[in-house]
Amino acid sequence: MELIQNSDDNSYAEMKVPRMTITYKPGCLRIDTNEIGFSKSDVEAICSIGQSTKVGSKKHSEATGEKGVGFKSVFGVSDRVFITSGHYSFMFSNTTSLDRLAPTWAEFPESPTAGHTTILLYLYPDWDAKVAAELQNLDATVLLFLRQLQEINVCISPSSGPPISRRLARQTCSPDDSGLVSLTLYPNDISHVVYHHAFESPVGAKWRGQSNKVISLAFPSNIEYYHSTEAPAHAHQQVYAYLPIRDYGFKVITSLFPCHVILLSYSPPLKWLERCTN
Amino acid sequence: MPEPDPTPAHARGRLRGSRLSRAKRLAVSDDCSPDTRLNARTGKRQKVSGDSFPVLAHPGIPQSVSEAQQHIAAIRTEKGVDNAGTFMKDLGAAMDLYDSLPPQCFPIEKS
Repeated sequence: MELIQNSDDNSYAEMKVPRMTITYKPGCLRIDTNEIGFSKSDVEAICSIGQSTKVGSKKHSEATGEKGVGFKSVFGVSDRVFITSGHYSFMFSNTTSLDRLAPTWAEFPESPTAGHTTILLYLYPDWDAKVAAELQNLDATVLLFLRQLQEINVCISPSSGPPISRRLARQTCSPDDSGLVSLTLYPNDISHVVYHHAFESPVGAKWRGQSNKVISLAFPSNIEYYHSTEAPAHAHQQVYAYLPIRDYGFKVITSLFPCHVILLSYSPPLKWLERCTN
Repeated sequence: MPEPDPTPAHARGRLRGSRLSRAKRLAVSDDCSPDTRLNARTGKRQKVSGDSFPVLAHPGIPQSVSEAQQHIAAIRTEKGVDNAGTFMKDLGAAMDLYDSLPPQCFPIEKS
Protein backbone atom coordinates (compact mmCIF):
# COMPACT_ATOMS: atom_id res chain seq x y z
CA MET A 1 0.00 0.00 0.00
CA GLU A 2 2.81 2.39 0.85
CA LEU A 3 4.42 1.93 -2.53
CA ILE A 4 1.07 2.41 -4.27
CA GLN A 5 0.62 5.62 -2.32
CA ASN A 6 4.08 6.83 -3.31
CA SER A 7 3.35 6.04 -6.94
CA ASP A 8 0.16 8.05 -6.75
CA ASP A 9 2.10 11.02 -5.40
CA ASN A 10 4.68 10.92 -8.18
CA SER A 11 4.78 13.39 -11.03
CA TYR A 12 3.88 12.03 -14.43
CA ALA A 13 4.40 13.47 -17.87
CA GLU A 14 1.20 14.72 -19.36
CA MET A 15 1.23 12.36 -22.29
CA LYS A 16 1.57 9.25 -20.14
CA VAL A 17 -1.08 7.21 -18.41
CA PRO A 18 0.15 6.94 -14.80
CA ARG A 19 0.94 3.28 -14.50
CA MET A 20 2.56 0.97 -12.00
CA THR A 21 3.76 -2.59 -12.55
CA ILE A 22 4.27 -4.86 -9.57
CA THR A 23 6.27 -8.00 -10.28
CA TYR A 24 6.70 -10.73 -7.72
CA LYS A 25 8.95 -13.73 -7.88
CA PRO A 26 10.04 -15.75 -4.86
CA GLY A 27 12.22 -13.57 -2.69
CA CYS A 28 11.80 -10.42 -4.80
CA LEU A 29 9.28 -7.68 -5.32
CA ARG A 30 9.81 -5.20 -8.13
CA ILE A 31 7.86 -2.00 -8.72
CA ASP A 32 8.08 -0.04 -11.97
CA THR A 33 6.36 3.31 -12.41
CA ASN A 34 6.43 5.51 -15.49
CA GLU A 35 6.87 8.74 -13.54
CA ILE A 36 9.16 11.55 -14.68
CA GLY A 37 11.99 10.39 -12.42
CA PHE A 38 13.56 11.22 -9.08
CA SER A 39 14.63 14.77 -8.45
CA LYS A 40 17.31 15.51 -5.88
CA SER A 41 14.68 16.52 -3.35
CA ASP A 42 12.85 13.22 -3.89
CA VAL A 43 16.01 11.29 -3.08
CA GLU A 44 16.67 13.45 -0.04
CA ALA A 45 13.11 12.85 1.15
CA ILE A 46 13.37 9.08 1.13
CA CYS A 47 16.68 9.38 2.95
CA SER A 48 15.08 11.46 5.70
CA ILE A 49 12.24 11.42 8.14
CA GLY A 50 10.01 14.45 8.52
CA GLN A 51 11.37 15.98 5.34
CA SER A 52 9.02 14.83 2.63
CA THR A 53 9.03 16.78 -0.61
CA LYS A 54 5.27 16.83 -0.22
CA VAL A 55 5.39 19.04 2.86
CA GLY A 56 5.17 22.77 2.27
CA SER A 57 4.76 22.48 -1.46
CA LYS A 58 1.72 23.33 -3.49
CA LYS A 59 1.57 19.64 -4.16
CA HIS A 60 1.40 19.01 -0.44
CA SER A 61 -2.29 19.71 -0.02
CA GLU A 62 -3.00 17.23 -2.80
CA ALA A 63 -0.50 14.55 -1.87
CA THR A 64 -1.53 11.41 -0.05
CA GLY A 65 1.48 10.98 2.18
CA GLU A 66 3.70 13.21 4.18
CA LYS A 67 6.52 13.32 6.69
CA GLY A 68 8.81 11.17 4.58
CA VAL A 69 8.00 8.31 6.90
CA GLY A 70 6.29 5.90 4.57
CA PHE A 71 9.11 4.64 2.44
CA LYS A 72 10.93 3.34 5.48
CA SER A 73 8.13 0.84 5.97
CA VAL A 74 9.68 -1.26 3.19
CA PHE A 75 12.32 -2.29 5.70
CA GLY A 76 9.64 -4.18 7.55
CA VAL A 77 9.53 -6.72 4.74
CA SER A 78 12.87 -6.29 3.02
CA ASP A 79 16.52 -6.31 3.96
CA ARG A 80 17.83 -4.70 0.76
CA VAL A 81 16.17 -2.12 -1.47
CA PHE A 82 17.57 -1.09 -4.85
CA ILE A 83 16.32 1.98 -6.68
CA THR A 84 17.01 3.19 -10.17
CA SER A 85 15.51 6.37 -11.57
CA GLY A 86 16.97 8.47 -14.35
CA HIS A 87 20.71 8.60 -13.73
CA TYR A 88 20.32 7.50 -10.11
CA SER A 89 21.13 3.95 -9.10
CA PHE A 90 21.50 3.26 -5.40
CA MET A 91 20.50 0.95 -2.59
CA PHE A 92 19.60 0.83 1.08
CA SER A 93 20.12 -2.10 3.39
CA ASN A 94 18.41 -2.93 6.63
CA THR A 95 21.61 -3.85 8.43
CA THR A 96 21.73 -0.80 10.68
CA SER A 97 19.67 2.32 11.22
CA LEU A 98 22.26 4.30 9.33
CA ASP A 99 22.04 2.02 6.30
CA ARG A 100 18.31 2.74 6.10
CA LEU A 101 18.94 6.46 5.80
CA ALA A 102 22.24 6.70 3.94
CA PRO A 103 22.07 5.40 0.36
CA THR A 104 24.91 3.53 -1.25
CA TRP A 105 25.60 3.90 -4.94
CA ALA A 106 24.97 0.49 -6.50
CA GLU A 107 24.35 -1.04 -9.86
CA PHE A 108 20.75 -2.14 -10.25
CA PRO A 109 20.70 -5.95 -10.06
CA GLU A 110 18.22 -6.44 -12.89
CA SER A 111 17.69 -4.85 -16.25
CA PRO A 112 16.06 -1.46 -15.68
CA THR A 113 13.01 -0.48 -17.68
CA ALA A 114 13.50 2.52 -19.92
CA GLY A 115 11.92 5.71 -18.69
CA HIS A 116 10.75 4.18 -15.42
CA THR A 117 11.58 4.48 -11.77
CA THR A 118 12.17 0.97 -10.50
CA ILE A 119 12.35 -0.27 -6.92
CA LEU A 120 13.50 -3.79 -6.14
CA LEU A 121 12.92 -5.31 -2.71
CA TYR A 122 14.62 -8.47 -1.52
CA LEU A 123 12.02 -9.91 0.80
CA TYR A 124 12.51 -11.54 4.16
CA PRO A 125 11.64 -15.26 3.91
CA ASP A 126 8.80 -14.98 6.43
CA TRP A 127 7.21 -12.17 4.38
CA ASP A 128 7.60 -13.83 1.01
CA ALA A 129 4.36 -15.80 1.00
CA LYS A 130 2.41 -12.98 2.65
CA VAL A 131 3.41 -10.48 -0.03
CA ALA A 132 2.47 -12.94 -2.78
CA ALA A 133 -0.92 -13.58 -1.17
CA GLU A 134 -1.60 -9.88 -0.74
CA LEU A 135 -0.83 -9.25 -4.40
CA GLN A 136 -3.15 -12.02 -5.46
CA ASN A 137 -5.94 -10.43 -3.46
CA LEU A 138 -5.28 -6.90 -4.67
CA ASP A 139 -8.59 -5.53 -5.90
CA ALA A 140 -9.29 -2.81 -8.43
CA THR A 141 -11.11 -0.81 -5.78
CA VAL A 142 -7.68 0.13 -4.46
CA LEU A 143 -7.64 2.59 -7.37
CA LEU A 144 -11.02 4.06 -6.54
CA PHE A 145 -9.92 7.15 -4.64
CA LEU A 146 -6.40 7.59 -5.91
CA ARG A 147 -5.64 10.87 -7.61
CA GLN A 148 -3.33 10.01 -10.47
CA LEU A 149 -2.58 6.33 -10.81
CA GLN A 150 -4.77 4.84 -13.51
CA GLU A 151 -3.42 1.35 -13.88
CA ILE A 152 -1.69 -1.32 -11.84
CA ASN A 153 -0.29 -4.39 -13.53
CA VAL A 154 0.40 -7.31 -11.25
CA CYS A 155 2.67 -10.16 -12.37
CA ILE A 156 3.15 -13.03 -9.97
CA SER A 157 5.55 -15.90 -10.62
CA PRO A 158 4.96 -18.27 -7.71
CA SER A 159 7.48 -20.90 -6.77
CA SER A 160 5.02 -23.51 -7.98
CA GLY A 161 2.25 -23.18 -10.50
CA PRO A 162 1.78 -21.01 -13.53
CA PRO A 163 2.48 -17.28 -13.48
CA ILE A 164 -0.42 -14.96 -12.87
CA SER A 165 -0.91 -11.62 -14.59
CA ARG A 166 -3.62 -9.16 -13.72
CA ARG A 167 -4.40 -5.67 -14.91
CA LEU A 168 -6.27 -3.35 -12.60
CA ALA A 169 -7.39 -0.11 -14.15
CA ARG A 170 -9.84 2.68 -13.76
CA GLN A 171 -11.38 5.04 -16.22
CA THR A 172 -12.51 8.38 -14.93
CA CYS A 173 -15.12 10.48 -16.65
CA SER A 174 -14.98 14.23 -16.30
CA PRO A 175 -17.23 15.59 -13.59
CA ASP A 176 -20.48 17.11 -14.67
CA ASP A 177 -22.01 20.21 -13.13
CA SER A 178 -23.47 18.21 -10.26
CA GLY A 179 -20.03 17.37 -8.97
CA LEU A 180 -20.48 13.68 -9.64
CA VAL A 181 -17.62 11.70 -11.07
CA SER A 182 -18.03 8.35 -12.73
CA LEU A 183 -15.34 5.77 -12.32
CA THR A 184 -15.17 2.43 -14.03
CA LEU A 185 -12.93 -0.15 -12.48
CA TYR A 186 -11.53 -3.05 -14.46
CA PRO A 187 -11.34 -6.00 -14.67
CA ASN A 188 -14.55 -6.28 -12.69
CA ASP A 189 -16.14 -3.61 -14.87
CA ILE A 190 -18.03 -2.09 -12.00
CA SER A 191 -19.00 1.53 -12.47
CA HIS A 192 -19.04 3.82 -9.49
CA VAL A 193 -20.55 7.21 -9.09
CA VAL A 194 -18.40 9.30 -6.79
CA TYR A 195 -19.86 12.32 -5.06
CA HIS A 196 -17.47 14.82 -3.50
CA HIS A 197 -18.78 16.87 -0.61
CA ALA A 198 -16.75 19.86 0.54
CA PHE A 199 -17.33 21.22 4.02
CA GLU A 200 -15.77 23.34 6.69
CA SER A 201 -14.19 21.46 9.54
CA PRO A 202 -16.72 21.29 12.39
CA VAL A 203 -14.00 21.46 14.98
CA GLY A 204 -12.02 24.26 13.38
CA ALA A 205 -9.04 22.03 13.06
CA LYS A 206 -6.74 22.60 10.17
CA TRP A 207 -4.96 19.89 8.34
CA ARG A 208 -2.13 20.84 6.02
CA GLY A 209 -3.11 24.46 6.62
CA GLN A 210 -6.62 24.03 5.34
CA SER A 211 -9.86 24.03 7.23
CA ASN A 212 -11.86 22.88 4.21
CA LYS A 213 -12.32 19.15 3.94
CA VAL A 214 -13.78 16.87 1.34
CA ILE A 215 -15.60 13.63 1.95
CA SER A 216 -16.19 11.50 -1.10
CA LEU A 217 -18.77 8.77 -1.34
CA ALA A 218 -18.67 6.11 -4.02
CA PHE A 219 -21.70 4.13 -5.06
CA PRO A 220 -21.54 1.11 -7.34
CA SER A 221 -23.87 2.05 -10.18
CA ASN A 222 -24.13 -1.01 -12.35
CA ILE A 223 -27.51 -1.35 -13.96
CA GLU A 224 -28.23 -4.71 -12.30
CA TYR A 225 -28.43 -2.93 -8.97
CA TYR A 226 -31.38 -0.94 -10.20
CA HIS A 227 -33.28 -3.97 -11.45
CA SER A 228 -32.45 -6.28 -8.60
CA THR A 229 -35.36 -7.33 -6.43
CA GLU A 230 -33.08 -8.59 -3.70
CA ALA A 231 -32.35 -6.57 -0.65
CA PRO A 232 -29.29 -4.42 -1.09
CA ALA A 233 -26.11 -5.58 0.51
CA HIS A 234 -25.51 -4.00 3.86
CA ALA A 235 -22.01 -5.24 4.32
CA HIS A 236 -19.54 -3.03 6.05
CA GLN A 237 -17.30 -1.13 3.70
CA GLN A 238 -13.76 0.00 4.05
CA VAL A 239 -12.98 3.58 4.95
CA TYR A 240 -10.42 5.09 2.66
CA ALA A 241 -7.87 7.82 3.05
CA TYR A 242 -7.06 7.58 -0.64
CA LEU A 243 -6.25 3.93 0.05
CA PRO A 244 -8.25 1.48 2.16
CA ILE A 245 -7.58 2.09 5.83
CA ARG A 246 -9.87 -0.17 7.78
CA ASP A 247 -13.46 -1.21 8.37
CA TYR A 248 -15.00 1.22 10.83
CA GLY A 249 -18.42 -0.42 10.54
CA PHE A 250 -20.02 2.01 8.11
CA LYS A 251 -22.81 0.41 6.16
CA VAL A 252 -25.18 2.01 3.70
CA ILE A 253 -25.38 5.77 3.73
CA THR A 254 -28.92 6.92 2.95
CA SER A 255 -28.78 4.77 -0.11
CA LEU A 256 -29.71 1.37 -1.37
CA PHE A 257 -26.16 0.74 -2.34
CA PRO A 258 -23.09 -0.19 -0.40
CA CYS A 259 -20.66 2.61 -0.45
CA HIS A 260 -17.08 3.47 0.07
CA VAL A 261 -16.14 6.41 2.21
CA ILE A 262 -13.03 8.43 1.77
CA LEU A 263 -11.71 10.81 4.35
CA LEU A 264 -9.44 13.34 2.77
CA SER A 265 -8.49 14.41 6.24
CA TYR A 266 -7.89 12.67 9.47
CA SER A 267 -9.40 15.65 11.24
CA PRO A 268 -13.17 14.97 11.18
CA PRO A 269 -13.91 13.02 14.33
CA LEU A 270 -15.27 9.60 13.54
CA LYS A 271 -18.20 10.17 15.90
CA TRP A 272 -19.15 13.22 13.89
CA LEU A 273 -18.84 11.33 10.64
CA GLU A 274 -20.94 8.53 12.05
CA ARG A 275 -23.67 11.01 12.95
CA CYS A 276 -23.58 12.45 9.44
CA THR A 277 -23.92 9.11 7.82
CA ASN A 278 -26.60 7.54 9.96
CA MET B 1 -21.86 36.66 -13.19
CA PRO B 2 -21.35 32.99 -12.32
CA GLU B 3 -21.32 32.04 -8.68
CA PRO B 4 -17.91 31.03 -7.30
CA ASP B 5 -17.24 27.32 -7.17
CA PRO B 6 -17.45 26.28 -3.49
CA THR B 7 -15.22 23.27 -4.09
CA PRO B 8 -11.77 23.73 -2.55
CA ALA B 9 -8.99 24.42 -4.98
CA HIS B 10 -7.24 21.13 -4.29
CA ALA B 11 -10.43 19.21 -4.93
CA ARG B 12 -11.11 21.08 -8.18
CA GLY B 13 -7.69 20.23 -9.44
CA ARG B 14 -8.16 16.61 -8.54
CA LEU B 15 -11.57 16.44 -10.12
CA ARG B 16 -10.57 18.04 -13.35
CA GLY B 17 -7.33 16.21 -13.77
CA SER B 18 -5.39 19.44 -14.16
CA ARG B 19 -2.72 18.60 -11.65
CA LEU B 20 0.01 18.01 -14.14
CA SER B 21 0.98 21.60 -14.72
CA ARG B 22 4.46 20.85 -13.42
CA ALA B 23 4.86 18.06 -15.88
CA LYS B 24 3.75 20.36 -18.67
CA ARG B 25 6.69 22.61 -17.99
CA LEU B 26 9.14 19.77 -18.38
CA ALA B 27 10.86 18.90 -21.59
CA VAL B 28 12.73 15.80 -22.60
CA SER B 29 16.45 16.28 -23.00
CA ASP B 30 18.31 14.51 -25.74
CA ASP B 31 21.70 14.14 -24.11
CA CYS B 32 21.24 10.41 -23.50
CA SER B 33 21.76 7.85 -26.17
CA PRO B 34 18.61 5.82 -26.72
CA ASP B 35 18.56 2.32 -25.29
CA THR B 36 21.71 2.69 -23.20
CA ARG B 37 22.83 4.25 -19.96
CA LEU B 38 26.25 4.76 -18.48
CA ASN B 39 27.24 2.18 -15.92
CA ALA B 40 29.05 4.16 -13.27
CA ARG B 41 31.12 1.23 -12.05
CA THR B 42 32.38 -0.08 -15.36
CA GLY B 43 32.32 3.20 -17.27
CA LYS B 44 30.61 1.40 -20.15
CA ARG B 45 27.21 2.03 -21.57
CA GLN B 46 24.62 -0.52 -20.53
CA LYS B 47 21.67 -1.54 -22.65
CA VAL B 48 18.27 -1.03 -21.11
CA SER B 49 14.97 -2.51 -22.14
CA GLY B 50 12.38 -0.44 -23.96
CA ASP B 51 12.65 2.02 -26.77
CA SER B 52 14.40 4.93 -25.12
CA PHE B 53 15.75 6.23 -21.87
CA PRO B 54 14.46 9.76 -21.54
CA VAL B 55 15.70 11.91 -18.70
CA LEU B 56 13.58 14.97 -18.22
CA ALA B 57 15.33 18.31 -18.24
CA HIS B 58 14.44 19.77 -14.88
CA PRO B 59 16.58 21.66 -12.40
CA GLY B 60 15.95 19.05 -9.74
CA ILE B 61 16.75 16.00 -11.85
CA PRO B 62 20.45 15.14 -12.32
CA GLN B 63 21.38 15.18 -15.97
CA SER B 64 24.36 12.84 -15.68
CA VAL B 65 25.46 9.82 -13.68
CA SER B 66 28.34 11.76 -12.15
CA GLU B 67 25.95 14.46 -10.90
CA ALA B 68 23.72 11.77 -9.37
CA GLN B 69 26.72 10.06 -7.77
CA GLN B 70 27.93 13.30 -6.26
CA HIS B 71 24.50 13.90 -4.84
CA ILE B 72 24.35 10.47 -3.22
CA ALA B 73 27.83 11.01 -1.77
CA ALA B 74 26.71 14.36 -0.36
CA ILE B 75 23.69 12.73 1.28
CA ARG B 76 25.88 10.08 2.86
CA THR B 77 28.11 12.75 4.31
CA GLU B 78 25.16 14.81 5.50
CA LYS B 79 23.52 11.75 7.04
CA GLY B 80 26.47 11.15 9.21
CA VAL B 81 28.42 8.36 7.61
CA ASP B 82 31.41 10.59 8.35
CA ASN B 83 29.72 12.49 11.14
CA ALA B 84 28.05 10.48 13.89
CA GLY B 85 26.66 13.60 15.52
CA THR B 86 24.45 14.44 12.56
CA PHE B 87 23.20 10.91 12.35
CA MET B 88 22.27 10.76 15.99
CA LYS B 89 20.36 14.00 15.58
CA ASP B 90 18.39 12.50 12.69
CA LEU B 91 17.74 9.33 14.62
CA GLY B 92 16.47 11.25 17.61
CA ALA B 93 14.13 13.28 15.39
CA ALA B 94 12.83 10.07 13.85
CA MET B 95 12.08 8.53 17.22
CA ASP B 96 10.31 11.68 18.39
CA LEU B 97 8.19 11.73 15.25
CA TYR B 98 7.21 8.09 15.63
CA ASP B 99 6.18 8.62 19.21
CA SER B 100 4.07 11.64 18.26
CA LEU B 101 2.03 9.87 15.59
CA PRO B 102 -1.55 9.03 16.62
CA PRO B 103 -2.71 5.41 16.58
CA GLN B 104 -4.92 5.95 13.53
CA CYS B 105 -1.78 6.43 11.45
CA PHE B 106 -1.05 2.76 11.98
CA PRO B 107 -3.44 0.37 10.23
CA ILE B 108 -1.59 -2.33 12.08
CA GLU B 109 -1.61 -1.66 15.79
CA LYS B 110 1.26 0.47 17.00
CA SER B 111 3.50 -1.65 19.14
